[in-house]
Order: sequence, then structure tokens, then C-alpha cells
Amino acid sequence: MSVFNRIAVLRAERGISRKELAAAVSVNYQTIGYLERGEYSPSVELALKISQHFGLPLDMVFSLKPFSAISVELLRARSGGKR
Amino acid sequence: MYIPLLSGREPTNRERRIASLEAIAGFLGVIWLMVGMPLSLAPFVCTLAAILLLMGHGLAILARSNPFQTALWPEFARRMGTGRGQPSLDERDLSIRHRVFVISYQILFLVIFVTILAFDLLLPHITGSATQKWNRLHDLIITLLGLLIPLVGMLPGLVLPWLETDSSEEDGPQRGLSRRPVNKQKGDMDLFPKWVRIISSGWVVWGVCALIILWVFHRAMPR
Repeated sequence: MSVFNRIAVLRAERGISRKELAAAVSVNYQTIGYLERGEYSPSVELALKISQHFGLPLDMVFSLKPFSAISVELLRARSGGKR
Repeated sequence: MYIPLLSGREPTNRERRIASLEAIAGFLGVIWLMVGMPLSLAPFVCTLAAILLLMGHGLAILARSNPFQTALWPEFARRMGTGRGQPSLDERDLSIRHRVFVISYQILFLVIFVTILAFDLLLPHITGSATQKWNRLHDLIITLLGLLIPLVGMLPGLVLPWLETDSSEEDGPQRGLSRRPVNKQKGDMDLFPKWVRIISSGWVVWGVCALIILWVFHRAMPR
């Protein structure tokens, strides 16, 4: 089963280093790199810890379908808001 | 080129992969020397020195990148030796070590299988005692033990770098969203073609090994 994530975007958005995120969720910082590159599928526990750390629901950080680009989502949100 | 103790850093996975090839080449070189040993002293010493240098370099790098496991135990609870100051293993480290453990066993069984099959061809070169059947069995057991003891320690270190990509820099360039699904990666079981995985897994290996051992004992028993 494919698992996609937004960790890299969320981390960049909040200015958190891999080491800081790794320390917060109790893993090695390389593991964050492997997760961001899609080379490792996290356990439910780790996925919950990461989404909890970002203060977001699980399905906003991890998904079984590829996430659309942030710019596309912003555009969609803006056009939806105008209606 | 990575030189253990002088390079002042941990080897990358790419360097570990090269080191594993060096160690395997050295290992095969030693077997080749035993089988087709040059008669004169000078070529023998030069070849032996080259092989030991190659194997020593490979093994030193692999020892430096201690995977904290052997083929007998999937992982050690505490890191030892060069890894003493490193952080403890997390869930990804453990999961990849468990996959390495399985693959190490598959390779171990293949090595036993090939050794037993090729033993009658190699034996006259290794020892002159191939005439007596009980000596043949004794020599087979000694050869298998001689192969298995170093392999049990070395195999996880040889396999691990082939399953992991190089770990990223602490805060490397952002690569954006993870668009690469995990199951599209070159995973543990993709290391070998499907037919090798079927042959080298579970009951097939045990069955074939049992048949070969029975056959060897049957041939070796004095009548």
C-alpha cells in the first residue's frame, strides 16, 4: 500500500529542522529523511505522533493518494471562497 | 575512497556497498587460492597479499558500520563497539534489520546449498584426503563451519547497505511532497529476482537441504 505524506512541506512551512522533528517524535533524524523521500512507510504510532506534533488531523499529513500541490489547493480554496 | 580510521567520518551506504563487494571478492579470492594455488612462491605471496588487502579494506569498512546484529540475532538492544555513542535504533532501523535478518538467512542457505553441491569438485583441491568417505564428510563439515562462522557475523553488514539508500543530510534541500510511494521503492524482497526468492525461501530450502544432507550421509556411510 502506498503512503504519501506532507512532512517536508509542513516542516519547511514551520521552519523545523529534521533533527528537531525527529527529537519531538523520538526517532533518528535519518528516518525523517526516509519518510520525506517516501522510502519508509511509518507505523500508526509514528504517523499519529507526527500529525499530533504538527497539530493537524492524520489525513492532512498522510494519505493513500498523492497530495495535490499546495498552490493548486490554495487556488481551489480561493475560487471556492469567492462563490 | 574511504579509508577506515583516516577518513574521520562514517562510511556512506555507497561506500559500504563497495566494501561488501570487496569483502565478497576477497572471500572468493581465498577460495580460488585454495583451489588453484600457484605453485611458485612469489606469485602465491603477491596474490595472497592483494586478496588480503582487498578483503581487509572491505571488512574494515563493514566493521566500522556495525549493523548491530548478526545472522543469529536480529538486533542487539544496546549498541556496542563503534556504535556506542550513536542513538538507539528506532522503528525504521529495527524494521530494516528484521528484513536484513531474513535475507541473510536466504543467502546463508544458498551458500550451504552451493557448497554442498560443489564440494566434491572442490575437495580434491582443498585436501588430499578425499579417498576415504568418512574423511569427506568430516571435511565437508569443517568447510561448512569455516564458511558459516565468518558469514554469520558478516552477512547483515553485507546486506544492509544494499537495502538502504544513503541517509539524507540533517537538513538537506527540500524535495517537496513525497510523491514516491513506498511500495515502488527497491525494497528488501526486490534484491533478488522472483525465482531466486522462491528457491531460497522457507520450506523449499529446508527440504532441499534435508535431501542433500541425507544424500551426503548416505554416500558417506561405510558399507
